[in-house]
Parts: sequence; structure tokens; C-alpha cells
Amino acid sequence: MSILRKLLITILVLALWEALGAAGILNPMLVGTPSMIARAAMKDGTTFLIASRFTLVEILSAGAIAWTLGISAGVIIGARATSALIISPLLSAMIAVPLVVLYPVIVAWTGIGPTSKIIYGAATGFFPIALTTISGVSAIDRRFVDMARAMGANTAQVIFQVMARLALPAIMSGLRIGSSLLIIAVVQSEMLSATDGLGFWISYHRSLFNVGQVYFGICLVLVLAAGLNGLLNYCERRLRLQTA
Amino acid sequence: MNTTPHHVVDVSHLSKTFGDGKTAFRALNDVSLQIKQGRFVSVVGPSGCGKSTLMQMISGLVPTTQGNIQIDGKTITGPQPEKIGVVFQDALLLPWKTALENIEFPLSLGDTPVAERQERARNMLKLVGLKDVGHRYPHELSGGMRQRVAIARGLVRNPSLLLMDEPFGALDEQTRTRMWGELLRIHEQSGTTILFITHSLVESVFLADEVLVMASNPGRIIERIEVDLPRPRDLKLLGSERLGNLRNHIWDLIAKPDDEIDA
Amino acid sequence: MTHQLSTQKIWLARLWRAGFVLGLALVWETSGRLAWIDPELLPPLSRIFKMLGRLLSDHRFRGDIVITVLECLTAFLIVVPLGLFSGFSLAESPKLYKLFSPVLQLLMTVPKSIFLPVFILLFGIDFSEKVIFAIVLSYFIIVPTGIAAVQSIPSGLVAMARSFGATQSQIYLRIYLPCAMPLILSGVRLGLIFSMHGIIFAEMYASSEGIGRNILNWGESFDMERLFAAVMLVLIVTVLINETLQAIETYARRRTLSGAMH
Ligand SMILES: Nc1ncnc2c1ncn2[C@@H]1O[C@H](COP(=O)(O)OP(=O)(O)OP(=O)(O)O)[C@@H](O)[C@H]1O
Ligand SMILES: [Mg+2]
Repeated sequence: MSILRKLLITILVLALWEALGAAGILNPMLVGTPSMIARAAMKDGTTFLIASRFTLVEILSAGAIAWTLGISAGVIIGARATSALIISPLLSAMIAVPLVVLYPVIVAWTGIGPTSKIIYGAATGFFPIALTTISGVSAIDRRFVDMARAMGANTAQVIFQVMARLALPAIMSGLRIGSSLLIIAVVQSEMLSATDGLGFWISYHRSLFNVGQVYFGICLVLVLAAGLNGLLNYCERRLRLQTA
Repeated sequence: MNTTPHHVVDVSHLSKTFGDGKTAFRALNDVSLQIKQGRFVSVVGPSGCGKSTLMQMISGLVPTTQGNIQIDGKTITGPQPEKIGVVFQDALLLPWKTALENIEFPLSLGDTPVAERQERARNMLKLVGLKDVGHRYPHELSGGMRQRVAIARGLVRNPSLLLMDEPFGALDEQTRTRMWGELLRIHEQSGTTILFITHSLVESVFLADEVLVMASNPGRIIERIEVDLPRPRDLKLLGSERLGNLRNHIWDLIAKPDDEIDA
Repeated sequence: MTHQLSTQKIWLARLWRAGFVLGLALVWETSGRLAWIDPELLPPLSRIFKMLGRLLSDHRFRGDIVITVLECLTAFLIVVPLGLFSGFSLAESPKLYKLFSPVLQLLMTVPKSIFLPVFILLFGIDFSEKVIFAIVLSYFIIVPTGIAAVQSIPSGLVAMARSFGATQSQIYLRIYLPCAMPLILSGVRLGLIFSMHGIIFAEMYASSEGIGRNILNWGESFDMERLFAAVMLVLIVTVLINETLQAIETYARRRTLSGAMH
């Protein structure tokens, strides 16, 4: 689909949405209208922008933790067939658990501030990242390990310079899954209890029935998620180009 | 036992058993061999007779069950990257590194200064005749080129022994023939001792000073054959009667048990 | 990996895993008993389980459990047939697929949970709001498994059955169903798991009843023992359900494989 066609469709949908709201076919108090969202943006734009930055910082911090811990745990566990065999079922069992039940525990421990969101987000991202990394690392061609050892690589060099690097495509897909879950988790946790952040303001305006603000906040979350996803795509493509 | 220092490789009464109990499998039984400095020794034998296992034990990657392996007079217990270079059947080049970086790889694992290791890698690249393609990635090289990069990588630490496990097994015949010439030239120029494993009878005779013939179940050396073809070897030798006779002799040794089964 | 894992190795790994979990439990227990960590923050495991026992015999909490289970089951029973059927239809009809797959793909990448406030605006805070939210959340996860289930049916087998004169219903029953079974089952599993995720989050976000609500309340009032007991309940139940369904899935996959070889 060309960009022009996409744009046209978007405009059409927005116009239809607005018209249906104006004609009273859809209740604008429930579904909002594009003009309501625009008005909300004019009125509370600054608050939402500051909140976006707040949320972004939380997401990036949680991401840094989940990426570091997830990749290193995954690589170390995946490097040995036995440890992968023992531990990966435990991790995949954890994926089934709605981790959100842990959030109140984290809040009780660390308070309502950004720390609790960062920990919860990092935990949510950790499991899929670690699990995909384990399966990626245990699936590499083991002959490369022999090669590296014969060339004089020590255990750390074999694991981090050869095995992890060979498993990079799998690790990247784990990062993609983990990161998108993590972004949602941070916003979710802000919606549950927070002092600032996009999720917090969405919930706040929901309780006041400020429909425009709710939709505006949701749009910002979508933009944020899409932006971070795009960044990840870009990094992946760069990496691919480098190694081809 | 007193080993004379000019034996680069001294393997004595080497055995290898995989698994234990009911599933135990004797892959190698009482293998002994010595290789003098600068010699080119090849190993042939039927598939599964333990050639790779022998090589992996000499390279220190696989522990021995019984027996002793000495390199330059010292018993080995693990990989010896500064004494032994290894070339595998598939080049096993790291796909994210250029040819030059792949050759540098063994040096980059230690503490060789960057300038020195680039210098040495470039010399190796020249030795294998690839000085113009150092910047290319493995997927941009032909199979023969990849294998030459792998040889350069095996030689870059200036080892006393180069182990090669069917390095040309995956190449087409023409490329393989060209690689023979290259390898002989490299052997001559570097003076490295080479232990060369192969399936190909012609290859084993044409390249080597000595051929070790193996049999399976259990894997063992059944004969050693001195190859008295003149050096430098010319490709014309491939059609010679002497080479043909040696090749037929080895074939008789290897084919015997199978013929008995057929009958 | 090239070599097959022996059953002995798998059992050994299970043993290690059990040991690992047991060790973790032990550390947890002693850390509370010896007050390495403030037992107010992390009550010892034994006290948590004692509390769980008490909660399970408390009729008010049992009422909450019933509500959560009802919500999950309702969402599950609606979304699994709906999602699988959508997946089947899309996979069977290229026209439908062409029409709907762009929209579907877009909606699949959109994070659904942040729309929960909208569901509340639309439906209020009640049973149906939570169920509908959970349905929407799981629907987009099940549809792809439905599509994959149809695509996993080897077309050669269908042609073979036709050539032997099988009727359409025989083909559906004898070929489609067993071949697609593993993926259908994984759709069922994902449907149940994500229905639970959706319901519990919706309860925590806004509700006057249900397990999720209790978890949030106990967290806010620092009632750590009750909080951990409820968390433990959710953890154990979801893990048990997931593992059981996964075992059934593996069994079905093995049967399909061995069936295909005969
Ligand atoms: N890790 C292992 N565990 C059990 N058996 C093994 C193992 N590695 C090798 N073997 C067995 O040992 C025997 C020798 O194997 P090896 O790879 O050394 O043979 P080879 O002579 O190199 O064969 P080829 O010419 O096909 O490469 C084979 O029967 C093989 O099945
Ligand atoms: Mg071999």
C-alpha cells in the first residue's frame, strides 16, 4: 500500500468517526471524536508530554535491566545443554503466570514511584528474553565452539564472543517480544497505581469521564510503542547489514 | 619412555571409549604414531573409523580414555592454541567477521597488540594467496577461498603442528585439485608439520610423506606407508604409475573387510 | 541438537528442577524465619500457605474465587471457538484472508491492555466489561493459531483421502481434526491463559470483587500474608493449568507425528 493511500484511508476513517459522533449515532461521551481528542491535546498537552517523558524513562530503565539480565542469564544458561534442559521449563512456566499479580507486592516493597514500574517492567521483559536467548544459544552449531576452543578461547570468550554472537538473530527476536511486553507492562502498572506517567493520566481522566484525554493518552502510548518498535527495527536492520 | 625432541607429535597407546556400561563404544584402540618436524602425514580410513576422534584428542578438545599424547615433548591436557593450529572440514569462519578479522581471531583471544595481529593476519592472507579479499565477509567468498582463510587462521599463531580434518571434503574436484597445489606450497613455505585427515586415497598419497591407514571396529592403524614421490610434487604425478600403485595398495587394505562381508 | 535426549536424562533434569524449586522454597522459608529479610515484607512460605488454607475456607474469598473463575470461563468459552473459527475461515478462504489480514495484523500489534479504560467507558465496571476485555485480549492471540492449524494439514494427505473416495465429512473428521489437533489445543491453552491474564488485570484495575481486586486491596493495605497467599494461588493454578494443557498438546503432537508415519 502506498503512503498516499494509507493517508487517504486514515483521513476517511477519522472523518467517518467524527461524523458518526456528531450525528449522535455513536455516543461521543463514550467513543470520543477526533475533535474531542484535539481539544484534549490543546488543553492538557503539556501535562501529557511531561508524562510521556516520565513513562519513557521508566521504559528505558526497565528495558536496560531486562535486556542485560535476560541476555546474560539466557546466554549463560543456554551455553550448557544440561542447564538449558533444567531451567528453560521453569522459565516457560513463568510465562503463563499473569505477572501483574506481583505488581502489588513490588509496590508494597518499593513504593508507588517509578521504581516499582521499572522492576515490574523489567520482570515482564526478562522471561521472554531469557527464554528465547536460551533456545537460540542451545541451537547454535556446536562445531563453532570446538573451533573457538581449539583457537584458544577461554570459557567466557566462547560463551560471549562466539555462542552469543551466533545466537544473535534469536536474541533479537526475544528482545522484540520482551520489549513490547515490557512497554505495555509499564503503562499497565502506571494505570494501576502511580503518581505520574501516561498510564496514570489515562486512568485519572477516565475516572473524570474526560473521554478526549483518555483517547489522547492512549494515542500517545501507541505512538511511543510504535516509535520504540521502529527503533528496534532500525537497529536490527543495521546489524543485519553489517553481518549480512 | 624418553621422547626425542624432534618428534613434534608423539602419540602412544591411545584409546578412546565413548559412553559407559552397556552403551560403551570403543572408537579407538591402541593407536600409536610419531611425526617428525616438518613432515606431512595423512590419515585415511573408512567412515566412522575414528579419524576425527583421533584429531580431536590430539587437538586437546576431547579427553583421552587411555594413552598419552605429547606435542613438542609435552603431554597435553587441553587445547594448545600456540602449538597446534586446526582446520575443520567446514571452514567454520565466523560470519560476522571479515576474512582478515577471522584470521586475526585466534590472536584477538590473547593479548597480541592490535597492530601486530593485523600485520600477522595480513601476512597469512598473502601466504594463502588472498591478499585482495581480506575485507570480504565469508558469504562473499567461494568455498575454496573460505577454506584457505581457515588454513591461514590455523597458521596465524605459527604453530608447530597443523591439524586438518578433511579440509577439502566439501569442495568440487577442480577447486580441490587447485587447493592441493596451494597446500603443498604453504607447507613448503611455512615448514609446519601437518597431520591431514581425508577420505580420498589419491589426496592422502599425493600430499603426504607418510600415509597412516586406519580400520574400524575398533578404530586402529593397520599400516603406515612411506610415500617416496619426489618433492616438490607436481600435479602431473597424479597420473603416474607409482601414485596409482600406492593408491591401489591402500584400497586393498581398506576394502578387504567389506569384500568379506559381500561374499 | 543432533543427538536424541535419553529419557534418563530428561528425568534427571526433572529431578534437578524439582531440587531447584525446593531449594528456592527453603531459602525463602529460612530467610523469613531467621529474619534475613523483614518477615513483614516477605513472610515465610509456611505462613503464606497457612494463610492460603485459611483463605480457601473463608466463604467471602471463596465467593471472589467463584466470580473470577466464572469470568475466566465465560471469556474462555466464547473466545476459543470464536478465535479458532475466525482462524479456520481466514485460512480456508483466500478472499477473506486478503480482506481481513491487514486489519488483523494491525490490531495484533496494538497493545490491547491500555484500552481497558475505554472498555470501562463503554460498558461500565461489571462482569461483561471484564469478560469482553479478556475476549478482545485473547482473540488476537488465538486467531493466528487457528490459521496455523489449518495450514499444518498436509495437502497431500487430503488428496490421498479424496482419491480413496473419502467423503467431505470423513476428511474433516479423520484428517483435518487429528492433524490440526496440536495447534487447536495450543489455541485452547493460550485462550485460557490469556483470558486469565485479562480478567485478573481488569479486576485489579477496577472492580469490587474477584481475586484480582483482593490482591490489589491487600497490597495497598500492606497485608502481606494475604497478598502473598493470593499471589501464590494464582501462580500455582496458572502453572498447573499451563503445564497440563501443554502435556496434552505434546501427547497430541506425538500421536499426529506417529500417525503421519504409518
Ligand atoms: N561423542 C560421541 N559419542 C559417542 N560416539 C561417538 C562420539 N563421537 C564419535 N563417536 C563414534 O565414534 C566413531 C568414530 O567417529 P569419528 O567421527 O571419529 O569417525 P571418522 O573416522 O571421522 O568418520 P568420518 O570419516 O565419517 O568423518 C563413530 O562410530 C562415531 O559414531
Ligand atoms: Mg570425521
